Amino acid sequence: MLSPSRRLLLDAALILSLVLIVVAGYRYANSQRTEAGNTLIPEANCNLHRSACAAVLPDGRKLILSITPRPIPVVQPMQLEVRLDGKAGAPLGKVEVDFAGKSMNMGFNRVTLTTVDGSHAKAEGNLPVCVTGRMDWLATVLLELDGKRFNIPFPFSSDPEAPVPAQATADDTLAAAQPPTLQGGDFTLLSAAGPVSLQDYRGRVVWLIFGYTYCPDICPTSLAAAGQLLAALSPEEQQKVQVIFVSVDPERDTPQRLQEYTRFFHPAIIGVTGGPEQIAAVAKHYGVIHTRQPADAHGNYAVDHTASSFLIGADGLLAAKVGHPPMPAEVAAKIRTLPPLSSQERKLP
Amino acid sequence: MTQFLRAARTISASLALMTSACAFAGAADKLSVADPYVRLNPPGTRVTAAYMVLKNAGDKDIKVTKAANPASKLTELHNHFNEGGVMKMRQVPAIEVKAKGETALQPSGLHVMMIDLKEALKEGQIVPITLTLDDGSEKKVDAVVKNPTAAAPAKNEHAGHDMNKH
Repeated sequence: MLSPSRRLLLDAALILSLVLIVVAGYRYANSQRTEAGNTLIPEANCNLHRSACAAVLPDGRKLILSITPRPIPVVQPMQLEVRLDGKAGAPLGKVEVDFAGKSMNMGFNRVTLTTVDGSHAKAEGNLPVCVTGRMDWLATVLLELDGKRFNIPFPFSSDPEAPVPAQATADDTLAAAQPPTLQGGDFTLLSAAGPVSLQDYRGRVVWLIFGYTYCPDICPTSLAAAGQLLAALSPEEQQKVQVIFVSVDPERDTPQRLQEYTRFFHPAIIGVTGGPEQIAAVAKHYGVIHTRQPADAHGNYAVDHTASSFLIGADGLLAAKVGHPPMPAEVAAKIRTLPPLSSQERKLP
Repeated sequence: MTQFLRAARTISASLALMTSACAFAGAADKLSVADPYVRLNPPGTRVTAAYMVLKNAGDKDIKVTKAANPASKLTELHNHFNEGGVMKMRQVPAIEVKAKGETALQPSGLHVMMIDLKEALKEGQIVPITLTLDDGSEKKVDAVVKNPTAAAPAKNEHAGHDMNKH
């Protein structure tokens, strides 16, 4: 059960996030938010596909963002470099580059750069591909300098030959500079054995995986990993872990079908579904995007969805996001750092 | 007119002969396949995928342009794209294997998609998959059906047979 103080805190957090959403609706919001930092506009019409691009910092130095190889590749690894050019000044603090679809929620894709020296940081990144045609991106450099946070949104098109997209609006910039809405949260959905609530699993670690039973590759990969994880845990540990598979295809996935499906991977995995609005609400809380694709001639369709999954701590709060494909050994290691497993004495193999 | 048609038929027939002769000494000879397997599909489902490692011993890039198998009504070449954390599966026109290189078909990446399975697969069953290459030659691969919930399998050299079909 939630203690009254925690409940109060959760309520406060909920109200706060509501307020933030309202505030974000205003164009001038970002200047009022300390978290978003100061937005600096880069020099106009610079094409990141052709050259490095620069923005002038308040101290007069230039910040230069370079992405190679050029033109910027999709899927393939790319080198990100941020340099400060000009007279000596405060050294670079934390530097990140955030890639976001301009005016489009593409999920969270942010790379933290490694500082080479006070004026140079670099990292390898990946540009998530857009297969549906041309789109405009924002590569936003987020940096700390002299105790202040700055964000500098560099627009570029997926098409190297296309004109550089117009400068970001304040709303785009704010969206790019905000961490994802990953507050997680409780829900109640339906399994073959009846309603299942996340809050039923307080005191246990929950691995929450979104998918659907008609899913050809991604979901079997995730669930096979979950099955392997459970099989690798000791019986005592298994008691403290619950894997829940949430359907993003409520039209086709019935609780019975989900049960048959999840049991194939491990009998302890629970599959849940609900009404489309319920599913959408849960997905939204976890920042999970799910988009039904056009059906083929036989009426079959795929549902593109966020492949990452989530570890919920014994306190019901989001403890970690698991990238795809999940590695059972890595997830096991992570789970064992979380209570109640972390407090348990384990026999080493 | 009929004479013209007959001539055209003769020409096309000899062309077909020539291409099949080419196919005989085709890229398939340069392509080898390691660890081919089909993922056992969960009950109630009718799609699954085949995975393998394609190795090209030749000096020219090879493209796999088509795959076929008797277990499913439809066979397609697919890839996954990670778009901001959303994995999007899309059909691809070909799977390329660079000269002297290799391409892995694996979960969450490139794969041979088996759509509309005619009947449920069984663990250990062999599915013969025919890969068609860009020069028209064919490579036949016997993929074994594996249960994905089994612990990460040790590499088994005898898991699949690897034959050329001309």
